[in-house]
Amino acid sequence: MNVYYQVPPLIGFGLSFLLAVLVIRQHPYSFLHRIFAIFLTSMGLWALTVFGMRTSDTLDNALWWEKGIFVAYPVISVSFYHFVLVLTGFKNRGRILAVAYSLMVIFIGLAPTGLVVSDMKMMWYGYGFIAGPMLLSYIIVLYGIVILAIFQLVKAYRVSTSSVEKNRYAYVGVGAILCVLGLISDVVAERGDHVYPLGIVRNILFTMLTTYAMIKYHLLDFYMVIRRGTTYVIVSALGVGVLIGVVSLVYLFGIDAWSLDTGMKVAFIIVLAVLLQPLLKWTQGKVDKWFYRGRYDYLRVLESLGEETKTITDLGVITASLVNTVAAAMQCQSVLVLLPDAEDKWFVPVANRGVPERLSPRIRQDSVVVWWLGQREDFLSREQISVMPYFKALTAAEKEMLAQLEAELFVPLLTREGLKGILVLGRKLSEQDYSPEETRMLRVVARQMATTLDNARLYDLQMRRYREQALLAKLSTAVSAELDLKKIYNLFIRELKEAVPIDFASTNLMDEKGGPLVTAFAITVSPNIRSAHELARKSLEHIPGRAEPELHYNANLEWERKSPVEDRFYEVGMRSLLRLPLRSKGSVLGNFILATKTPDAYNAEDIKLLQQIAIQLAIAIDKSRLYEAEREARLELERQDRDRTDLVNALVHEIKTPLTAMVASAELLREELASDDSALGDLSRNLEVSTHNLDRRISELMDFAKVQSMETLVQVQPVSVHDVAQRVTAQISELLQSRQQTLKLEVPELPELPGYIKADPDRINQVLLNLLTNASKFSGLNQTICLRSYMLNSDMIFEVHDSAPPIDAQERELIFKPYYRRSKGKGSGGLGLGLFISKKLVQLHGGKIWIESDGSGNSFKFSLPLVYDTGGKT
Amino acid sequence: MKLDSLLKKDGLFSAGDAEKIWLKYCGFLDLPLDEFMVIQKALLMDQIEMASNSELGRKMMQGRKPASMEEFCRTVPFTTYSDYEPYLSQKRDDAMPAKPVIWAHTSGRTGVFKWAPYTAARVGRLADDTLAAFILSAANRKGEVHLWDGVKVVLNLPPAPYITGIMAGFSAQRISYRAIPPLEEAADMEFQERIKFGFKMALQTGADFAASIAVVLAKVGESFGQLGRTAKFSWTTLHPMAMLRLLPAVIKSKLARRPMLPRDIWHVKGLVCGGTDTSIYRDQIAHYWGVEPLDVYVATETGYIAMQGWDKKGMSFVPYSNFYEFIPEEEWLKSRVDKKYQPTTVLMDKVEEGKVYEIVITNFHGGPFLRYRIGDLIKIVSLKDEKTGVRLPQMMFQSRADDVIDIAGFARLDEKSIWRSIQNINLPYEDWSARKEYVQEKPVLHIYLELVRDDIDSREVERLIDEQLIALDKNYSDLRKMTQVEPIVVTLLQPGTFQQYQKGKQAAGFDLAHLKPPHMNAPDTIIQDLLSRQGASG
Repeated sequence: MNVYYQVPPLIGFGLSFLLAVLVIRQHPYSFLHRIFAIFLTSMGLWALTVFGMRTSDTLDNALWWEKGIFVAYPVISVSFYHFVLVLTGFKNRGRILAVAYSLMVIFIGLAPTGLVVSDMKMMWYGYGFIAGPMLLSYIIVLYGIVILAIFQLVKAYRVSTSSVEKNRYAYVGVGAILCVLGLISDVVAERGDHVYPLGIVRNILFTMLTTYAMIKYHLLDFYMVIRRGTTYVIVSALGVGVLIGVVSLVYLFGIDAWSLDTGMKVAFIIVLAVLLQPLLKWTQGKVDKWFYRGRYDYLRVLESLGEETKTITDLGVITASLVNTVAAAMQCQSVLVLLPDAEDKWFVPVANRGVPERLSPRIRQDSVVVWWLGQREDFLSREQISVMPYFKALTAAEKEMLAQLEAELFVPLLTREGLKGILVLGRKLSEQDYSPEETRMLRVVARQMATTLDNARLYDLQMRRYREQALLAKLSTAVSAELDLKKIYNLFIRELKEAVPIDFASTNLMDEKGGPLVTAFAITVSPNIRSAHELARKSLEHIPGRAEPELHYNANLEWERKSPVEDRFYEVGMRSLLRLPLRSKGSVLGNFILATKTPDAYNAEDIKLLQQIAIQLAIAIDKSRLYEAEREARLELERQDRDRTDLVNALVHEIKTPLTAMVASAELLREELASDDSALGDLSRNLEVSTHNLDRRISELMDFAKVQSMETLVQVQPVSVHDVAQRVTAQISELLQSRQQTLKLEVPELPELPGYIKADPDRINQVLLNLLTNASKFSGLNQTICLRSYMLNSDMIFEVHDSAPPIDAQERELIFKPYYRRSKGKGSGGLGLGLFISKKLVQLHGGKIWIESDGSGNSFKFSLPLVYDTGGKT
Repeated sequence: MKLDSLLKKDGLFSAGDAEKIWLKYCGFLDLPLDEFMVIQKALLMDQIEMASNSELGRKMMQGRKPASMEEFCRTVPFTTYSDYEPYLSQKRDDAMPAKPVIWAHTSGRTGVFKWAPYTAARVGRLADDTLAAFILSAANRKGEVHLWDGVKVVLNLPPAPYITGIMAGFSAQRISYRAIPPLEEAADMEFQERIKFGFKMALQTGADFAASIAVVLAKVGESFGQLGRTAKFSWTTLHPMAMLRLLPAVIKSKLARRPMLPRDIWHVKGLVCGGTDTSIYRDQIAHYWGVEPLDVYVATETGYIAMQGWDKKGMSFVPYSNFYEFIPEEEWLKSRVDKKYQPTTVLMDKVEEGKVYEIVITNFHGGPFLRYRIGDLIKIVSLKDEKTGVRLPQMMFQSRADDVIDIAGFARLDEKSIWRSIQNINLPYEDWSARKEYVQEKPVLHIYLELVRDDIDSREVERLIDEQLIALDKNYSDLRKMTQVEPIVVTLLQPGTFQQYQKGKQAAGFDLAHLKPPHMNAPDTIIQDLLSRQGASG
């Protein structure tokens, strides 16, 4: 008995029935499984008939069994086709199957007749059949059905988007191809060529492959199997070559290696296997390179990416390298790197490749996806998300985002402190699953990159904060220094453009009374927007008259628009729209609108910064408004002052002209009646005094008006303090004599003074005269009044001390106010303007005036800056 | 989410990955309580977000937007259907937290149809939970899946827009199961006609699963016993496939010397039953059909609330459809007395074993009902199931909150207790209705019962039911011992009374749900109507 000839059919028989039982046990109610079980059973029966034929003792018996083989094959062919149609979900298969089953019945009927196989003959390998007239038709039809099934599998493979399905179709398809190859070898063998009929072996492989594809859900990646298989075939061939070479070589030395004992042979093979290890690795590399054509180099780069980026701190560079290398090495549709935002509330995209621009994928820190990646420290696949109960807690928005993202794999970027980022990979271009080798590689890369990325992110964050602080400081300075709003707007927009993307910006303000919003400023850089002001104006049509006090941010107008304003911006191509209230001192002044065509353009940090900037802008607007209001008020007051001064001047002028004549007349009259002791003489004296008093008061009023309107000018010149004192003493002496008062003069001579004062002598004289007149007026008869001058620091101090009752602190506050008259002075004829005018005159000289009181009286003091004689230099 | 994307066919059933199917549909049974609560919290916050953006939600939450689960329970008031009625009766899609794709309505047993809108996400959950129930009904151990493409499912359920019809319709889009009778064909059939047609069809096709009201399965089982004696051959029974099923079944029953049973004809893998009577008929159904039914707790307003595990014992709450709060029995009693009283609630992680609670639900996935008092009392039978390893509180349906009959403030009898006591007296009966009445100013439990036989004295029935209630209900037993009062009054209705009532209602064009009088606390008009259709005895 030829074991190699007779045992394979027996193995085929046993295996087929065993697999049929397994398939049915797995899913007894599945129609697909039932059909497949029929296929396996018919395959088992076919193998049984082959076994019967090969073990027959006569040609007649062998013919009987051979006919059995040809009866079983139609069932195999058609049941396989039926199975493939169901597996691939082929619609409207009823008619096709009816034809296939009819053909099956016909050929089952033809098989025993001798039309398909007419007789048997002995061949070099055993029994061979002699073809009948219908054999060709039989082969064309039944193997044609198998080939149709292969085509159907290829078609389904192409249209399927499921990697699991694709893998399954590949296994079944390859099994069917092996089956057809088996037929070819059987037919060639039958023709007498020296070919072994391998139909039974290939059908065993066919059975095993298809069953594996059916009962296993996670099939080995077909390409990985091919790749590994190719490597082992090459290495095995090389090994056999080496073996034969070594055997031949030693034979030359008279050693028959084949005759060595078993132990030696085993030892030799082990040595050979060890020696071939580097060859295996090298060959695998070459095969991989061939299989991975286009991406082999990227795979190598990916392996060393972590090490190479360790020293780089630029987050943009690192993430761009990562996404580009991963996308190229994994041949995937998209790659995305998500890192925590500044507030650690979201994982936000920092770099991507292949992710549609309209998407703005972000994952909340408290999302179950983040929880899973952080807790389980493992990859998360799309399939796991669809299956595991935990992910049913994903919110509607998260589900929508994940669906749009079409993410296939979430790779956690973990450091010792936890989850620091997420690498998201889309589907592979080949529609295959990520192979174990690829996931292993991604795991290594993720581990290496996590710390690098986290450090770069923190560095980036710090740098960003510095930049933001610098920007805010710059804007704050500008707000302090500049009052022109237009300049401020321009500066703000210029600086903002550097910090965040802007295609449109406008500032809309309400008036101080809270009137409707009006666009104060608008700019655009988008060609879609013809006029920024026009857009701003139109958008305001849909905003309530008053600005909203809350911030509104729509990160993607394409997904959702909640108001006509958002519709308006969407229509001109904007995708992110941010409306910030402009608040100052608790009230809303208006709003600041920013828009850009990039979706999700502003992250939490950007918004925080923009809020700060909006505050600065509001302060600038508020300040500018206050300044404007104050300026207007001041101008109004000045105008009123001017009017009043003009009136006083006109009045004084009108009075002064007749008064001058009256004074002169009164003096003449008094002189004429000087010796007259009659009542007429007294009247003339009274008249003179009164006209003089009136003249003085009118002069005071004129001075006051001039001081008020700032018309009074001082004409400074070097002045001798002593001369000033002497002059005023002469002027006051008459008054002092009339009140029997004494003036004590304590003014040092010039040489004692290191410098001189620069003043208008007439004005200083006026001040001193006023103070001395008051001192005389408020001091009692026979009292002493003192005029002093002395240096204090860099000032010259003038002091007029009287003997009047002390002025209390409250009165001292009021005494320099216009029209204030001391209680004792009321009725004494003054207007209460003297001290006010004195104060103003001193101030015009850069000095100050004040009062000090004690038990002995009151000291009216004023200071004037002293100019040192430094040889011509001042 | 669009309905199409949610309800596409699940490839796992054709691929045959049992592990993943179990994980996807029944995986919630493996959740520890803390993860259950995490899911509840996440979905509640999502629901609050949706509700706060809707007119209805804002009204129910009184303009607030709670920032946490605790704040939600503290600040949002309880609601009842009347709060929603103005929106739901007019099907105000625009006022809902999310756009509905279909509107379901209740049976109207309380006299009012309650409408409940379903969003695409909620419909998806209904479909998935229905498949979970089928999988669990056929499982004898964890991970065992017998639900595959092509299985035949007998559906004895009212059609859409009843929730059961929606469940059946949409779950059929997830898996290619063969509905018997086909959903399109059965859509316009009367309920009884549909049941008959379904079982006749199943004679030819076979049946792998059945979803039904428990009493229907029990009655079908009973009628099979009579089939052997009064077998009428029709074209259906003469169909070759039907003959292939019937003949071995007849032989089997003859060999066993007993009437033919459904289990002789069909080797069903799983039975799914809803309603309060499942536990009453459990043993009977298991005897007739060969498998224990799986009890599910479903309501139109909520979808699936809970379902039994593969051991068919306590029910586990489904975490994905609703947020659950529980009003302790004492609080519930206070709120019964004082309608203005706002009882406190506990969450799932604070319920206690053996305690009775009124359940309060909040829909997830954009459903309208927030802190909704559905009016059901449940009992927490254990905090976990040691035998199966399920780590979630196990519950059983206790009664409708308004279906409790209070006798002298001492014993509170619910529908199930009364039903079981009637069942246990072993007198074949047609139907019953019970309510609290006053006889000589004393409260009594008045049971209107129609027995199959009419030769039994009502006094005897009162005694038998009394005995059963003493055995079944400790409080009732204490009442009897302590007070010596006899609180049971039975009025035996003449045979055919319930049928007459039903026919009368049918003729008047009443809906399916109103054909029978309610079991508990029927109003005077219904009792009068019932009594008027027979000569009352007793």
